[in-house]
This record gives sequence, C-alpha cells and structure tokens, in this order.
Amino acid sequence: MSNPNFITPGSIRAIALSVDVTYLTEEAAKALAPDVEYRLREVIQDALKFARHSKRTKLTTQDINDALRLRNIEPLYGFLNNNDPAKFVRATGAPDLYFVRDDTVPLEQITCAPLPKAPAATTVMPHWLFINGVQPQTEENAAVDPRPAPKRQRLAAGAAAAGAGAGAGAAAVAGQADAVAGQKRKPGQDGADAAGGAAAAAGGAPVGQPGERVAMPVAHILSDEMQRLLQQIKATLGNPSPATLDAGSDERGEGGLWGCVLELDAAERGAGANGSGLLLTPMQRAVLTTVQRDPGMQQLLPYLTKHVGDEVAGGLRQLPRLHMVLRLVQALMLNPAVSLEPYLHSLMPPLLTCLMAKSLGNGPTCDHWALRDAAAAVVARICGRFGEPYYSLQVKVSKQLLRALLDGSKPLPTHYGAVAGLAALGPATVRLLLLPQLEPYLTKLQPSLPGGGLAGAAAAVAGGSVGAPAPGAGKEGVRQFEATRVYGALLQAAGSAMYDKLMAVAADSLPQHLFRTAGRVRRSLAPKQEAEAAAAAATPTTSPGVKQEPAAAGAAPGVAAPAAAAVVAAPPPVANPAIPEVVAVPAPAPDPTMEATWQRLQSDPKATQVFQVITANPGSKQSLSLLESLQQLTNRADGRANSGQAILYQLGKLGIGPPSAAKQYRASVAAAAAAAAAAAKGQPVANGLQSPPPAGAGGAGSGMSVTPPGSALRTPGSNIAAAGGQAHLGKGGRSSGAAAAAAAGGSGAGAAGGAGSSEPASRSVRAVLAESWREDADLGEVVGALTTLFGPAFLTRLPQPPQLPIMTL
Amino acid sequence: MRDSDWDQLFLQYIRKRGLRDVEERFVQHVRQPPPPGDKEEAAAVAAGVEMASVLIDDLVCFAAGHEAAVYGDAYEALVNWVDSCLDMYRPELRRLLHPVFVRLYLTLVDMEAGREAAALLARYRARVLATLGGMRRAAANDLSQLAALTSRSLLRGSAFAAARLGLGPGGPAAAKTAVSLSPYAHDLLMRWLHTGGGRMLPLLSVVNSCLDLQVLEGLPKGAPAAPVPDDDLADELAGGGPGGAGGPGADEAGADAGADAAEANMVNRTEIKLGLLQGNVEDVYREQQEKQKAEAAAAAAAAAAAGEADPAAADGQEPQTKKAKKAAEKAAAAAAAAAATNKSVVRGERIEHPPFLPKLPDDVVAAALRDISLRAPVSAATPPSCAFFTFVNAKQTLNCSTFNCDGSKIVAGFNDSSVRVYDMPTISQHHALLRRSRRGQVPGGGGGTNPDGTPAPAPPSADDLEESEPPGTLYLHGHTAAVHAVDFSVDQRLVLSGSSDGTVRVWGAEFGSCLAVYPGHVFPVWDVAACPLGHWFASAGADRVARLWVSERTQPLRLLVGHNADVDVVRWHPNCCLVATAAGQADRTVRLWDVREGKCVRYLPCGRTLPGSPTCLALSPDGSQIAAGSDEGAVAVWDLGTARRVAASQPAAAHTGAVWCLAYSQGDGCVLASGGADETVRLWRNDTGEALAAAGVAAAGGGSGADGEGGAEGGEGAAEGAAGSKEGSGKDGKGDAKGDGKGDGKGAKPAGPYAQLGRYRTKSSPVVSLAFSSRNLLLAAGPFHRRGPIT
Repeated sequence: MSNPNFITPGSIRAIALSVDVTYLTEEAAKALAPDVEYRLREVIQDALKFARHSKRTKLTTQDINDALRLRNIEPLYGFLNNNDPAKFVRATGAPDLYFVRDDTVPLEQITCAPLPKAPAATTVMPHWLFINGVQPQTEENAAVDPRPAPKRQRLAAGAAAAGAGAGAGAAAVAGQADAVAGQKRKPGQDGADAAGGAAAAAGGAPVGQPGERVAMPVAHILSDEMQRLLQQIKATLGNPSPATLDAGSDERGEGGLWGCVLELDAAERGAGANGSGLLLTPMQRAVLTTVQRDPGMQQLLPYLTKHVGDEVAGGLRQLPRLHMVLRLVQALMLNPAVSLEPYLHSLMPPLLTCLMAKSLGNGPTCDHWALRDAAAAVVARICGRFGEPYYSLQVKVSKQLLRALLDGSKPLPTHYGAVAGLAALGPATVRLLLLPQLEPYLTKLQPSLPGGGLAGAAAAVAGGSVGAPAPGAGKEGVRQFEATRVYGALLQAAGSAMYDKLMAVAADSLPQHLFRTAGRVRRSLAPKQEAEAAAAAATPTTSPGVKQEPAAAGAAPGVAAPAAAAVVAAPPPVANPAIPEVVAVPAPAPDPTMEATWQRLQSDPKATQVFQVITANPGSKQSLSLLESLQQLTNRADGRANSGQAILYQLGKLGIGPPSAAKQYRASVAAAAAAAAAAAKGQPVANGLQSPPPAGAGGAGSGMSVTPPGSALRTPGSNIAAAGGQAHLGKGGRSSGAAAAAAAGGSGAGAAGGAGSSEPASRSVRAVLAESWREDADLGEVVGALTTLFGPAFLTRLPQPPQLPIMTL
Repeated sequence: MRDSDWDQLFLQYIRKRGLRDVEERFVQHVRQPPPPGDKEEAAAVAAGVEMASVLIDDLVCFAAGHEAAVYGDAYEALVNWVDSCLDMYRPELRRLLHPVFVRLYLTLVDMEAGREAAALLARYRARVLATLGGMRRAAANDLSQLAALTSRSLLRGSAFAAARLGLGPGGPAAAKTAVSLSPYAHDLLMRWLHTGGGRMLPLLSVVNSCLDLQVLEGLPKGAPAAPVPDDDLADELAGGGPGGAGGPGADEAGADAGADAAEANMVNRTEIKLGLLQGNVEDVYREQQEKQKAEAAAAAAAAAAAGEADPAAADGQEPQTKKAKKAAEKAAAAAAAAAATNKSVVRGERIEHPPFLPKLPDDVVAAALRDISLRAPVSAATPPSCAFFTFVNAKQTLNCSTFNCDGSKIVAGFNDSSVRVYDMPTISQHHALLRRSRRGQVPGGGGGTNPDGTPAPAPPSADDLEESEPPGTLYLHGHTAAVHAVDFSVDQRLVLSGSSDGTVRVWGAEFGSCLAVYPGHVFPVWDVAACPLGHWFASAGADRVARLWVSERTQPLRLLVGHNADVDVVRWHPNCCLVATAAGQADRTVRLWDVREGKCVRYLPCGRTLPGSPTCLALSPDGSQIAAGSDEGAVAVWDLGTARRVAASQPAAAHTGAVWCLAYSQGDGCVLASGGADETVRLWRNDTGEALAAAGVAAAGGGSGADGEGGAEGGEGAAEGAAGSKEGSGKDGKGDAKGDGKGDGKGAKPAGPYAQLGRYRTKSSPVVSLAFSSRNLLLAAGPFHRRGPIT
C-alpha cells in the first residue's frame, strides 16, 4: 500500500531546517509528519467551507486566513494581494515539489510606494435576462450563438473525439456533419425545416462534443418579433423606390450635388453620377441602421444571406436592388455583434456576381460601373476583415479576379470588375498581380480602344466622355466605351498603387535613393549639360531638354508660360495674410469659360454659400473639407465638375486652393528654390527646368500646380499633353513620346521615368513591372514603365489619392 | 513486580483468550527454571519491562476485571473521534461504528455486565436517533435482537450472537464485517488506535475480531468526487435480506433515499401538518375574489329576476315572479356552493394560526393583496421574465444577496464584512444620467432643461460621474468578518445578516444602523432566514446547530441539534411552524424541524439522488414539497408529507457547477428556478403546482359558468367545467411537452415531473441569488466575473 500521506518526515526535516531547527530526530519527524498533514487537511477543509459559503468556486488566500482564524491561529500575512497570484517555483531536483519564492521586501519600499488607486465602487446594473422565457439578444446577455471555434481547434477537437474511440468518433463526425448540413441547408429552407435540421444536429452532436455548440442551431428558431423584423427588412430593402432612382434632370443633379457636398456623403460620391446611386428613403436608412447596430441580427443572418442571394439572382437587371444588396451586406459587416464567418461562403458568390457579371442592369448604357465599384469595395472590406482567420479568402478572391481578367473570352465589363476588385484589394495586390499583366493586357486591349490606340483612350478618359458611351456609335461604340472604362480602371489602379508606394517613400523622407535611375540619368546628363551650358539657349535643337522648351511655350502659351515663370521665380506665397498656408495657392491663369460658369453659379445660393464659407475662414476644418470635396467634385464626369472647377477657380483667384493642391504648390516652391540655388551656382535657368527636382513627388506636383489639380484632366495643358503623346505615338517612337510627355507635363518625375525607359532597353517594361512588388524595386523605373504604357495620362492620375468609394449610412 | 507475577498475568490473559495451546506451552516454560547463562537476556527483559510500565498498568487494569467500564469508555472515545474527524473521511469511518457496537455489546453481555451493556445500547440508540433521525431496517433489526440478549445464557442460545461472535458455522472469519476504507482514513484509524495506549486495547481487539478492513485506493466513498461505489449498490439490494447478516447494517450515512430507507426511518413517520395557516394572504385574496364574484352573480341573478319579474308584474302573474325569485335564490346558492367546492379543491388543509406567532401587520397584508391581484401568472406555458442584477466591480467579494418583495432594494453581504443596501431606482437613474452624459459628450452639448422648464444644473461629465461614488448605496458596517447570509424581514424594514464572526445582526434598512446583535453561534453563521410572519428568525452555522430566535431576545429560543456537519442552509416553511435545514459534507441531509418542540420531524438523506452537499433549499408555496440544490449541480425535490423523493434532475440537464440558489414562483409554485456557478438560470416546471393551478382555474371557470347560466345546473356546470379544464390542462401539458422538446433541444425529457423549461446563460456572472418578486418577476443577481485568472 502506498503511503497515503503527502507530508513525509523528509519534508518535516526540510521545514525544520528552514526555520533553523538543525537537529530533529527521525522519530520526531515521523511523529510530526502525520500530525502536520492532519492539521493542514483540517485548515483546507475549513477554507473550502468558506469558499463555498462565499459562493465561489476558487479557493483564495482569504479563505485560508479565515480558516486559520476559526482555529485561533494567527493568519498568514502577505498573501492577500489578490492581484498577483502566488508564483510557484519548482524545486530543483524534486519533480513534485513546488514552493513560493519568499522575497525580502524592504519596509520603506512598501511605505514609500504610492497609494494604489481606489477601486471602483461596487454597484449594480440591472438588465433583462429573459422575458417570458425568451432571452433577448442584447449586449448584456451572453450570445446564444457562440462564435465558432477557430478551424484548427475544431479540427483538433474532432481528431480527439475520433481518437477517443471508433464508435464515439464516428458518432462525433456524423454529428458534426449533421450540424454542418443543418447549417448549410438553413439558408435555403424555411424556419421549420431549419429547426428540423437543427434538432438533428443537436441529436447528433452531444455524442461527440459536449458543450455550447449544441445550443447553436437552436438559436435559429425565430421569435415572432424577429420574423416580423425580417419581413420588414426584406420588404423595405427589396423595393428601392424607383422615384429616387431615375436619372434626374440637371436641376435635380445640382440639388443632389449640393446635398452631396454639404453632407460629405462619400457613399453618394462613390455610387457615381447620373443618379443611379441610391437615394435612401428615411425608412430604408433606418432599417439599414438597425441592421448595422442590432445585436440580434445574428439570428437573422441565415435568412438575410438567403435574401442577398435571391436578390442578386433575381435582380441582375435592376441596379437599385443590387445597390441595396451591397448596402445590406455592408451594414451586416459593420455590425459588431454579427459574425459573418459561417455565411461567408454563401455571401461571396453574390458579391462577386455584382462585381463581375457579364451584364448588369438593362442594357449597356446604364451605369453599372458604379455598382461594380461598390461591390469591389465591399469585397475588399470582407477580405480585409476576415483575412486574419481565413487567410485563404483573399488569395481565392484575387485568383478568381485575375483569372477573369486574363480570360480573353470574358466581356470587358467583367474585366472592369476584375480590375476594380484587384484595385480595391490594395496597392500590394495591384503591384503583385496586376502590374505584371499590364503590358500584355494593354496590347490586347488596344484594338478596342477608341481612336485605335491607347492615346485615344487617354484622350477619351481625359476628355470626360466616360459618363456615357459615344452616342450613335452602335455596338462598336459600346465596345470602345467599355474598353475606355477598363483602361481608365487600369490607369486608376496602377496610379493608386504607385501613388501609395510613392507616399510611403515620401513618408520615409528618403526619396532620392529610390530614384537610382533618375540619379543615374541626371549624373550622365550633368556633364553634358555643363558642357553645353553656354550653347543651350542658342542652339535649342541640339539639347533634348531645350528642344522641347519652345514646343511647350508654343503649344501652351496661356498656361505653361506663366507656370514656368511662377515656378522659376518662386513667387511670394500669397499676398493676403488672412489666407493660411495650408490652402495658399497661386492664382490660376484667367480663364473666360470659368468666369462664365462662375457668373452662372452666382445665382445658385448653395454655391455662393459654399464660396462664402470658404472665404470667410479658409483655414477652418469645414472649409478644408469643403475644398477637398470640391476638388473631388471636379473629377466627376458630368456637369457638376464644371461648377466645382469654377468655384475652385474663383477661390484660386483669391489665393485659396484645396489643401492637397497647396501642398503640391509648396513642394513646387521648394523645388523651384532648389533650382534657384542651382542656378546661383552658375547653372543656366533652362537646365533648372530640366533637371529633376530633388523630391520626385514634388517634382511631379510642380507640373501640376499650375492648374487646379483636380481639373487637370480638362485643362488645356493636359489636353496638349495628351495630344503630344498622341503625336509622338503616331510617330511610333517610344522614347521620344516619353520625352514629349515629360516636356508637356513639365514633370521632373516624368522626365526621370522617360529617361529611365529611354535607357538602353536592357529591361523590358514587363520585367520592370513584374518585379514592381518587391520592396526594393526601383520606383523610378516602375513609374517610367507605367508612363510608357499609359502615356502621360498616368502621371496626371498619379497624385490623386486613392479614392475608393466608401459607403456610409 | 516479580517474574512470577508476570507469569501469572500472562497466564490469566492467555486463558481468557482461550488459547489453550499457548497456555500449555507457557506453563511448561514457566515450570522450567531459566538457564543460568541468560542473565543478560533477563536484564534486557527487565529493562523492557520497566520501559513498558504504563502498559503493564493497563494490562493490570484490564485483567483486574474493570473491563465493562473500559469497553464503554473506549466506544465513547471512538464515537467522539469519528465525529471530530475530517469531514471528508467521516462517512466511511462512521461505518465502523455499528459493527463495533454490536460486538462490544455482545462482549459485555458475555462478560455478564448487563448493566453496562444496557447503558451502551440506550446511549447508542439515542445517539443514532438524535443524529441520524432514524436508522435503516437492518440496523433496527440488529438493535431489537440485541436488546433481547441480556445474559450470557441467552447469548449462548442465540444463533444471532453466535454468528456475531464468530462461534457460528462460518467460524471467526464469518463474523467479520467487511468495511472498505480509503488509505488515508485507514491510516488515521490505525494511528489513532495505536496512539491511544492501553485504553485502546479492547477496542483494538474488537476491531481486529469483528472488522475486515479493506483499503481501497482513491478518494473516500461519499466524498464529492467519488463515483457511486458498487458495494453501496449491493448494499441497497441486500438491504431487504433476512436478518441483515449479509450487509453492514449500520450504513446510516450511506442510507439512500429509497422507499426502503424512508420507511425504516422512524422520524419520517411522525405526523406533521404541512398545510398553510388559516387566514394566509392567498386565501384572503381568494375569498375576496369569491365574495366579489358571488356578489356579482347575485346581482346579475337579481337583475335577471327583476327583468323577468317586470313583464310578469305587468302581466300580473304572481307565480312567475315567485319562480324568478326562486331562480335568483338558487343562483346565489349555486354560486356559494361553487365557492365552497372551490375552497375544498384548492385549499387542502389549513392549520390554525399558532398563538406564539404574530399576525401579519395590516399594511403588509394590504400590500400583499394588491400584489397578488397584479401578479403575473407563471407556469410552464407562460414562463416568467427575469431581471438580472449584475454586481460590477465586486472583485469576488460578493457573498450573498437578497431582494425585497418588489425588487426595488437589494441587500448584499460582502467578504469585507459590510452589508450594503442598493436602492435600485436611484441607481437606475444614475446609470441613465451616466449614459446621457456619455452620449452628450459626443455631439457636444446636453444642456437640457428639466420637465418644469427650469434649466437643469450643468450636467456633470461622465468621467466625474464614473469617478464619484454612485448614489443609492447604503453601507451597513458592524460585522467583523465576512457576511455570508442576508435576509429581509417580512415588512421589508429590517435586514438580517449572518457573518463569519458568529453573530447575527439586525439592521434598519431605512436608516442604516444596527439595531441588535445576536451572539449565540460560536462559529461562523452560514445562513439566516426571517420568518414569513415577522419577528422570528432562524440561523444556522458551522457549529452544527440551527437556532431559532425571536428578535426581542438575544438568546435563542430553540436549538435544532442533530446535524453531523455544518448546517449550511435554513429556510422557513410557509406555515411558519416548521423549519428546514440542510447540512453537507459528512452529513448530507435535509431535515425538517418542528418550531414548537425543536424536534426533527423529517429526515431526508441526499444519498445518490442529490450527489454532493446541499447548498440551497426552497419550499414550495403550498408547503408540500422541498427542493434542494447541491454543489455538484443536482436539484432534487422531496414530498414532505411522505418523505419521498418526487424528482431529481437528470445529469444531462443539471447544472454544471454548484447550484447556489433556488426559488419557487409565487402563488401556485408552478415554476422552480435555479441558478448556479455555471452562470445559468434554469427553469423547471412543477407539475403538481400546475395541477393545482389548473384546478383553481377550473373552479373559477365553473364559478363563472354558474354565473352565466344562473340556474340550478350551475353546480353541474362547475363540475363539467372542472373536468373539461382538467382535460384541457392535460392537453396543455402535452403541448408544452412538445414545446419543450423543441425549445430546449437539450434532450430534457418532458415526461418526468420537474422537467427543465429553459436554460438562460448570463454573460459572465454566476447566479448568487434568485427570488420571485411578489408579482412573479424573477429577480436574479450575481457578480460580474471576468474569465481568466483571478483579479
């Protein structure tokens, strides 16, 4: 028989040693050990009583002390600090012996220590645990439907169950399969069947896995209230009222516009023009808010998922319904109490349909592009949010998108969706997946583009004809238009990706080293320039840089020349001291069309109000946001852009501009200052214009600061740039085209890129792009390659911050 | 002492033992003179002898014929030792007592010490009855057999004694009773027997001769974690065997709550009156309703009669008017009869109000009547609603809490020796303010005005509010140790609290000061309960005694002695003449005591029906049933009248942690709620309560039927109505059962009584207290407890 005692004479002797009793006979130890153990057991027994009557399941030091006090024994001091549990240390040499390290603490350390914070007062919070036997799904109650355990754990549990015994394991697997089946069936069935499946699952599950999972399916028995709520949601969201959706007249458009600007409703902006964006009735807004906030939505989730699938399947011709579906999904995703994970597999297909369907809406003329953009945003959000537990989700989605893009048999709208989706997935995805495919794809796309080539597309994009396909052009026109959209999307994606990279680089404030090529080019150019410095002005045709100067001057006498003057002279910021630096921009060149538009806008109270608000206090937050939104407004491809430009123009006359423009402006001023410094060293001014400014982005900006950046697409300058590009493409010379682009845009980065690509063709565009995702990839080269592919329009796109449509409620 | 004396002594002992072979050898050895060369040996022997002089004294004493007293004392010592032993091992050690007693008794009789034997028997019987409330049939059989054996001659002739003394056919081995002990208990017993010195010798010999100690590895039987041992089962099966010779008869601690044990339990045969008091509030309310109904019926009948009479009068036909009058009278009589039957159906027996108990104050009665009229019906079909009160920032210091009758006040006892009264309206207001100010911060401005138009004082910021002490909390300081129980007096004006410092205190809930201290318990007070009629209360504590008090005296009026372990719970019976207590650990019984005599009248051993120690009790409102929850999550219900178990929770449906609280719904007690450490509140349907309610409804329906018909058929109508609604209730019951099956999904079988109705999980709060408010709202409270390490 093993010794039932835990305290052995050896322990007694060790304890005796620790309290300085060096001599303890064997008999004494033997007699003491059982007694000590008995006393210990008594104390523990009493302490357990105290714990039980304190309705605790854990024994605390306080209980031990209470038990000691009960027996008139001095309690143990120093163990009452419940905040740090005693740390047991294993005794070396003895596997089963643990002790608590008993540190010596100096008294002054305790006395001098600051008093601990007073604990928060104990108070009582009431809530409903259940009402008439039904537990409401509120924050205060435990979720009836616990989140599923991470996959790995579940697998482990399943394996453990299987290991426990063949029969039990099989039962567990069956139970699990049953549960899964029940779950899968549910969206497709009505409540009763779902309950049946749930019951079956509940019947099977306890065999293998006891615990909370059993309770899960039961949660899907919907109470009357929930059913009514579901009906309400379906009814409200199922019929977006058509009145709000027709393409409004100009009047309406204007109203919508100002509503947008003042509300800063990003969703409205993202939803696009022509009124196909959803205008929500208050009821719908309220319903969506409910979906977004109510913790009880988890219960409705299977039904809502089914609703989403049905709506998409049945409403492919009705854009508003699809928009509403996207909103619903978005709201569900924003709801913190809802875990979408179990339903992702049934949610993703409808979303991808919205993104990449062959045809959406009734006919190619309708604006299904906005829907695809919105769907891309939602998909990207889902990938971002559930990427952590389901790491394969984004991989799968992006793979699918890329496959769609590369499949030449797919129609162009699908391609557009794929590009938009990839772009929404983030710059890294674009760089990794999209850029390498860019060159072959563009060559394939080229025949479809209007004007027979990329430049024509650029012109079309720049010309703002994206709003509607060319009228009367028939099938070919539609295809051209679609190709233009795809081209624009590609441009946007690549530009955003590069912009992101550039911004990251600029944030590191180490732009130079990344522009190795640029540096190389400059170095190689510098001696030449120095040598030809004297003759530069006299013999413009020999120097590549000077060759373009007259062209630029000649082509854009109204705009480029003052801009150059402004840059070179580095003008004093703004005369008006009331204008804060954040929004200070140089006055734009006078433009009669703008003046005319402004005259017309004077009659619009909202426009004047916005104008007054901004001029009253240009530095205030509201003004800044208004300016930003105005600038974004100019990007819109409809009549509102004109209005926005006009206001910006008018403000520019006062020296006020959007903060981003102002930033660029300041950068350009700095660049000019650097150029001036170089000039002071004896460099000719003309070379100052030519040499890439230190800051790449700033250099790019310096070309843009001339006009209100948002309206760059429509300014004569950029039109000329496009024309120049076209002209050179017509010549067929790539390098010269790039050079022309650099000249027309007046962009340092462009120059660098052009120079990079014009270097000996050791590196193909494709290779450069293929490695663009690498961290140390040469940005200059990449930008150059992209510029080569897209033409100068790419550069005009570059500084635009990536604006993904965000839907807010 | 010379060698010859020694020899004499040994010889005497050997003869006494009947060891003839040894005797012969010894005699031979003594006759031979010791060899001369063995001086050293002799010296060694002498030294040993001197060292063991104490032993010799004992031996002398033993040999000198004072055996009888020694046996008696030894047995007393054994009993005392077992009773003071560790709780965990007490049940199995107690199993030794009966065989040892039987053997001792027979030995005493054999020694012709009849007086001592009788004394021992009397003491034993008294002890068994007092502490165990009865004994199993086998044990009782043994005792009656023993009582008949009063002399040696009788002993010789008795087969029973022969078997017990090892003289029967099986020899000494058959006389041994097998007792299994856990290793540590065995160790304890052996150590005790050995350290006791010579006084233990007779006991040691008895233990050796009558017990077959089997040491089984593992935890002791009857200890919380132990599985059901096989031999207990066998024991129960063999319990009905003749003579009880097959099994260890004295297995009182393991006595199960089977019908057998209950019948053998003499205590449970006592007649008790479980009916409610006459004139209790429910009855008063029902009477009022009846009266109103009868009046209404009479009025209606009279109106009808008048209506009939009018045209009759116009026609001038006397007989018809008479007929109408007769009809009216009949209607009134029928209504009265219906009311009477109603009473007899619903009420059951009622007992007279005992003179020593006070009457309820009028205002309390008025309030109670109002509450009853507004009470929500609660049954399996209409489950109750539950408001949960979460104690935040309690940091594991909340020990107990209770509610007043409408849930507006919560009293809680804390580990830091304070009692706190929370005024919920004030606290809710404070929370609302907090929320508003928190929300107000974001949009930037919550300068509202009061409803009367005056501008509100500048609202304090949310931070300030959170920092400051929340209002509505009243601290009652006075105890010097953790408070383990609190209770409200019936008029909600006094708060009782029991604490580890061994005192019970009474506080004025309104003005927040201690009114009286009742020091009586030596050890911690585990539970306190106020009498439903006022100014009496009961307390229970670690000194194994429950006490009855009147608030005007600081000495207890009754001591309820009998539990073998700490009395953990005490509750009043609705009729206030009985008190129920429960004790855990070594005792594991629920007992019912008569307040007037302080006697135990019901003894309900937990046995296997309620594994673990009972932690909470609840008595059904009609006083016929008692429910107990245990620290292993089980819930069991007994019928008090027959002392039989009505229901026990299935392990699948039981709590997964300790059950901390139980509550019956008000009125018919159709629903039993339980809450526990597994952070759930569970509801159980009480079918007997439902039957009662159905009967009530039927009677009411019958009454109304009588109203409608206004004829002599009213009585029949009532009967039909009753029958119909019984069927209806049966159908309802089935429907509910189906609903349960669907709703639970937990496999809770709706077949048995007390099937589970629902399980509701709190976020992260063990449920410490539960109560139905007087309007049948379920109130529950518990401390919020973040999972993970103790903080």
